[in-house]
Amino acid sequence: MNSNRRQFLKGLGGSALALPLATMPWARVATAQGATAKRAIFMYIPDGCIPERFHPTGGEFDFQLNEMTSPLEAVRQHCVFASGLNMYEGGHTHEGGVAKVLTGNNTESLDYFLAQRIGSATPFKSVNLGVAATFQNGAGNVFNFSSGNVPITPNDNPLNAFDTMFGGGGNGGDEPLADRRKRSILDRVLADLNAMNSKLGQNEREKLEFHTQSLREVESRILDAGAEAGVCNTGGFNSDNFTVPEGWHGYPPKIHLDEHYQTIGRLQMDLITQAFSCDMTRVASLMWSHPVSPLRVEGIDQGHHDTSHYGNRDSDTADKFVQYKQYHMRQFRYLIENLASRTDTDGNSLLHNTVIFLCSELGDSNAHDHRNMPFILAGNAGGALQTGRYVDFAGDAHSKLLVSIANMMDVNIDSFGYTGHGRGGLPGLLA
Amino acid sequence: MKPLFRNLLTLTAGAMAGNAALANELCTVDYQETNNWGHGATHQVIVQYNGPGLEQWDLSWTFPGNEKIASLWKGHFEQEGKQVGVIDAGYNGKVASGGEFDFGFNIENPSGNLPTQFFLNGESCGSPAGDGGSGPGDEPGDGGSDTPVMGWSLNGAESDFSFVTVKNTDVAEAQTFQNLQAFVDTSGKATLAIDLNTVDTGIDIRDQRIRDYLFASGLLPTLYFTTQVDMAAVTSLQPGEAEMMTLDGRLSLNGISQDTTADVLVIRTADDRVAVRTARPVMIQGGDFELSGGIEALRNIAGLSAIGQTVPVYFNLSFSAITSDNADNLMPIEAGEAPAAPSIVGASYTAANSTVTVSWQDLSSNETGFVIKRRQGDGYWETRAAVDANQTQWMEQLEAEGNYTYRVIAVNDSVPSMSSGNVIVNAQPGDDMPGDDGGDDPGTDPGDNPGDGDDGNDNGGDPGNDGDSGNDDGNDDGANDGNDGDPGNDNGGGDELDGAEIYATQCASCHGADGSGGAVGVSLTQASELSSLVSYIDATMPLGNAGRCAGDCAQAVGEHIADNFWSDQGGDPVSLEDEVAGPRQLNLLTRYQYQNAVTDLLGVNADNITTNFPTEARVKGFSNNAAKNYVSARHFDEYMRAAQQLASDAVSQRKSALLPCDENASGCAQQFVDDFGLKAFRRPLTNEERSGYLALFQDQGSFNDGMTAVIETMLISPNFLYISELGEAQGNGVYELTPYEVASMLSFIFQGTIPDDALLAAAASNQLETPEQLASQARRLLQTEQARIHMGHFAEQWLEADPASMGSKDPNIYPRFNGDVRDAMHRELRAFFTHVMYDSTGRFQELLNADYVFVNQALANYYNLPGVSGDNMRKVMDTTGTRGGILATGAVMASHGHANESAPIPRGNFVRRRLMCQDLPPPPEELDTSFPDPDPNYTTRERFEEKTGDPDCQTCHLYINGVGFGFAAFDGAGGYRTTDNGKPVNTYGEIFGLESLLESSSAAYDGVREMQQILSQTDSSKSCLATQFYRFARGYIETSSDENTIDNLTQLFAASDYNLQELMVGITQLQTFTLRRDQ
Repeated sequence: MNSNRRQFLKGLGGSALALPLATMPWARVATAQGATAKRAIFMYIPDGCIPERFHPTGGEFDFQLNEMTSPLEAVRQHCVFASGLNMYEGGHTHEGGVAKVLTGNNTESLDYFLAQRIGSATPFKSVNLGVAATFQNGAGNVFNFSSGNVPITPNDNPLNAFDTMFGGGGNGGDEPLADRRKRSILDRVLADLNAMNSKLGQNEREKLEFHTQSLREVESRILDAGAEAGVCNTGGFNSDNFTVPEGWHGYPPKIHLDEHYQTIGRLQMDLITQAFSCDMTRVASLMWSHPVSPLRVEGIDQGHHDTSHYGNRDSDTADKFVQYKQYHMRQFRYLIENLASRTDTDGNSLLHNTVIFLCSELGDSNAHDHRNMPFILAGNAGGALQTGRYVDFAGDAHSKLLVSIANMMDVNIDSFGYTGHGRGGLPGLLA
Repeated sequence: MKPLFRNLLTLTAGAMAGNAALANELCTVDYQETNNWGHGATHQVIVQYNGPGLEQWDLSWTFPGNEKIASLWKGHFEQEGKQVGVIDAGYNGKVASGGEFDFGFNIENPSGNLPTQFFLNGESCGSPAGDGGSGPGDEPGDGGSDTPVMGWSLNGAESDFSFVTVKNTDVAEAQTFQNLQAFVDTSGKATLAIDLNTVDTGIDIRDQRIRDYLFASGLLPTLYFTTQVDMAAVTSLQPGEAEMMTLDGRLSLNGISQDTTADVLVIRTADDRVAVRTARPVMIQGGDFELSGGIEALRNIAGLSAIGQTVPVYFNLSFSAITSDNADNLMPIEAGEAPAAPSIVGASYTAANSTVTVSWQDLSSNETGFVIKRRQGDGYWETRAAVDANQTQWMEQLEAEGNYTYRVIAVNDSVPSMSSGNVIVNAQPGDDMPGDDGGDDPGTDPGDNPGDGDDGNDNGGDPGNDGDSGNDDGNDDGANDGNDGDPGNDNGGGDELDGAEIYATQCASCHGADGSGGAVGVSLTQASELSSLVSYIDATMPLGNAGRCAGDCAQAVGEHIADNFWSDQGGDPVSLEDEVAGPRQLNLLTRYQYQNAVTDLLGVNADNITTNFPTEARVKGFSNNAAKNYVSARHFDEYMRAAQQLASDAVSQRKSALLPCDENASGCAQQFVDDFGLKAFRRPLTNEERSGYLALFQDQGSFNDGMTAVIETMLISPNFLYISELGEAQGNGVYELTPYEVASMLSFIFQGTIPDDALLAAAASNQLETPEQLASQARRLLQTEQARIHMGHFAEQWLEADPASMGSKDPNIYPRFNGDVRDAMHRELRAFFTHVMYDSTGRFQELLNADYVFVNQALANYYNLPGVSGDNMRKVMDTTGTRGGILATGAVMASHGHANESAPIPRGNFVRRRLMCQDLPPPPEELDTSFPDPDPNYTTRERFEEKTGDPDCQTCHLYINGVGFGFAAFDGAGGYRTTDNGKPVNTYGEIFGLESLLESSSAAYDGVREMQQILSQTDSSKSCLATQFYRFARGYIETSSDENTIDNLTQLFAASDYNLQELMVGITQLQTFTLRRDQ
């Protein structure tokens, strides 16, 4: 028994990655579902844009992409390009922007809000991932917040995230004993939580209830073994065998090195696609780098944030900033194409049943403002969103876009956070 | 030449001769008492050495009294009775011929006298220098430069001159002047000229009124201050050094010249720069310059109840040396010679047209005009008119009948002669009468200036002295009366003098209602001898009105100050305010605390155990904020993973150490559960827990599996993961922490980990109850190695300069910044902070005023310091004069620098936020907050200066830029530079709002060292550090209900003379350290 359990532990540590097929005691095979699930992805890219070189020109269906978004030409039919949206209330800073972009100055972010409403049917209510997002300035400057604006730290390690999601099945063998042990451990922890909870005042009770919910989520994943256990093909994940060495190997750690940025980003996007495909979760977030990004890729001789203060919009520095945006748009395209290539249980593509919201924390990076934000939607949200469009919202509030996204997910709200420009979703976005 | 100047020059010459003589002696010892707090003092010793080079040194002397050295820095000491020997600290043993060394120490029982005879390596300092002869190269006067200095000119933009007026007894307003000119010639003759028409109060109408009514600046537009500066003393200062000087000079204002003394701090900011700043305000009496009438007029116009007649004046003057290299900048300013006084001939009144004609005799040859002053009855003098040179007559029409006194002053530009005598006209209807000479001898003694007679008016305008000072008659008898009036009269003549009331009426307008320093910045909180305070008040207070509070009055006020304002010194109790307890909370272990805790608990290597843990949400820099760190599902996953690993490692590697019993003995499982549970949960298990964990143990297949399961589960338990501050209800919503919770608090505050056996034992026996017990545990914990690491952790979080904050740097722009430098910077910050705290003075001030750095070879190279090899960090004097102080450390500068350029705005914000606890809001939405474009023709500073110059921006940027620009000599990677974009960096700055953003105080500086000197003297920086440590220790951000608690902590900090260890111990001495309330 002992050795079996050890193997189980090792599975958590990484051996599961080699398996093309993972048996997951908690995974529900998507065909078992009734109505088709809708899913949402919130994707952040750092440091705003040059609006004049980002937003398309032309009419709603007859538009030309701009330089910064030009890599999306091949997938433009899957996108809605939104210009003219402003983030109101609060000073124009990086930190203020990233705190506001998914909260609209609400007390939680939209991904968390949706996860509480559409995430309960899956093993993971949501998954929050990052690509060097907790590096440097990233600590604390996240775009996801649970109730009370408690920051949710993205997981920058895709192998760790994959293990958590897919590595828990062990290799068959002595499952009942391992389960029994886990159950007794978690029961004991729960007893400790309950005993502690009985001594608390209101604030700390919320904290402990949150803690207890977390335990419940983990518990149900681990312990709801049995009849529903299914098989989901996780083959092909990390086929290049990227590894994260343990220990300290100088600064920065490997997981945050620029040279692995794209590899890690692709692994995270593969993981999201995989998780959706297996219906492990329905809400995901992916944070690329962080506000005031130090990123350097593609041999550009200035860091990301340094180019974002480009001065004149036609300067050499501005051209480098354009290059960084194009780089991230190619990553975005990868996610769109990935989701488009997978078929959901209803015969549509995963992309069709998903909405992706691409955002940043600034509008014009040089002006450091929150106006004319670089926002793009992709996917049809199960048919709710018509794509292949460009819409100028002429100064309307971005919090209405958050309302619209919730509505696409069939969560009927008419405000989310800021309502200074009225309630309801964005006029003209949804049919 | 006036006698005053002659004296000064004689003294100067003497000093120079003295220096020359000393150069031939073996050594010169500059021994100073830099601080004295009654029962203790700080002494500073600088030894100038003229003999052949030394490898080590040993300086000895005999104390004059019973001084006892308590702690000494930059050397080692031995003391036997009064005999003291100090040897070098190793790193500073080497002294070249003509070089110098220094050290400092704190003593107990200062006698007031300083030792005078010193022996260096056994030889008297007075003996000849042997083959030395190589005296210090920089002879006074040469300015240390190859090209002769032609004079010193004022850097107008970096200088300011301001005065503070107090209205309605307690509202202080600062006024400045836009146009200053000053020049110091090579002989040290200094002249400051101020264009009074450029007064700037920020309000146009007020400017106009001050020009018209106060200064009559249309008639007398210039203020002059002339003095003689000891240039030998100035030029002997090394860059970075400062010296207090007393400047006796003459102030000319409003047609009156008066001797005026200014105590100034002279700072050699660079070879070619000198800054002169008031060490204490120059107190100008309105009456001395016949400004009383103007002040009264202003009061009436503005409808104020009072405007203070005593005006504190401050200045910060920055001078640049002018040599032939920049001779174009030579702009000598000279006040003209005072003309001879005119002689009054008479004044006549013509009733028919109500006209007075004043006549005088012109006795001067250099006047540019004459000024006529008039007083009605016993009223104020007012300047009526100015007429051209060589005029001898002037007429005016009177508005009303009465007695009028006139006099005439010749002026050379605005430099006045003595006044003429007075002439009185009694203007009555139908009464043509010539005025006769009032009999007032024109006088030659400036002390006899007729203005003296206005004392009564002074009192009348004095805040709080509601015109009851009728004892002052304002007679023109020239006698210095009035001041000697019975103070009892001034205070209503009651038998019982109420110190609080006297303080409120006579003292508070300057010193602040709470004695904290107020408008003049002279704080009364430092305890001293009551009797000396009383005699000081008796003799000098209120400033400018000495004698008004003498005898019993002085005694009453002195007692009031001592009882209410003095901070604790030598056993006087600190008057702590009532505290409100902080919130009950559960504070989740940070990754740092978790790693420490499992390492101490299990004894296994846990170095990488938290690698995949979610990072903490940092709130105001601190990662241990209870309100923002919750256990998410991902946390839970990671805790489970880590617990499995750790439990497995612990049982396989450390089983016997973790077992308190033989595993085969009966009851060993329970014993293990109890024993391990006590350490993991930092309290004894409850009965339910004991049986529950035993059941879990026994449910497993083997003893090892049982141990593993218990360890694993306890590590996931909330009882391990949270620091519990729940306490037990005491009623009224107040909870008292259990002894075990107190043990945990102490351990996490001082060591960042779980309690050791001694703390748990103390908790078990209720030995953590009294303040003494808490203090004693705190002191014990503070002395451990772990505490040093933990305090380094605090320093990093306080200054937002931890490894994660430093960020990447552009290798093309900062090629010297590599991994070794980065690593050394982090080690330096920690080494420096803990050195000050543990191995040196322990005082907060040293954090900012240190003149040394901690470097290894890599960092020494980066700092351009020679002679350091190897990887060990060591203390080295900063011979470049550019570093020193915690803000100039590489870690702080690089952490608050951009990847590709310096960061004046973030740096300014950083200091305000972290050092001064002034969190400025983000810019309003509607403002253009775009960055200045890159421009190869401007420095970073210039670009941001231009960009933030708009008045809307200046609302905040005045405060931000005034600090941030001073860091211009440090690039984005913490390297030192003298140019930016090919232009010299400008490191001058002015800190506005020293104590709070609501006040208009400011202080100018040049460079980070001076900036830090200023900060080290403010109360805001000290109370801020107390606040920051409170946040760190308690894991939450204070609210208004914590105000008294933090005030009390600040008081304890102050009472220790700002000793860092005492601040930290002080946290345990708060009334509410063990109390909590429901949120």
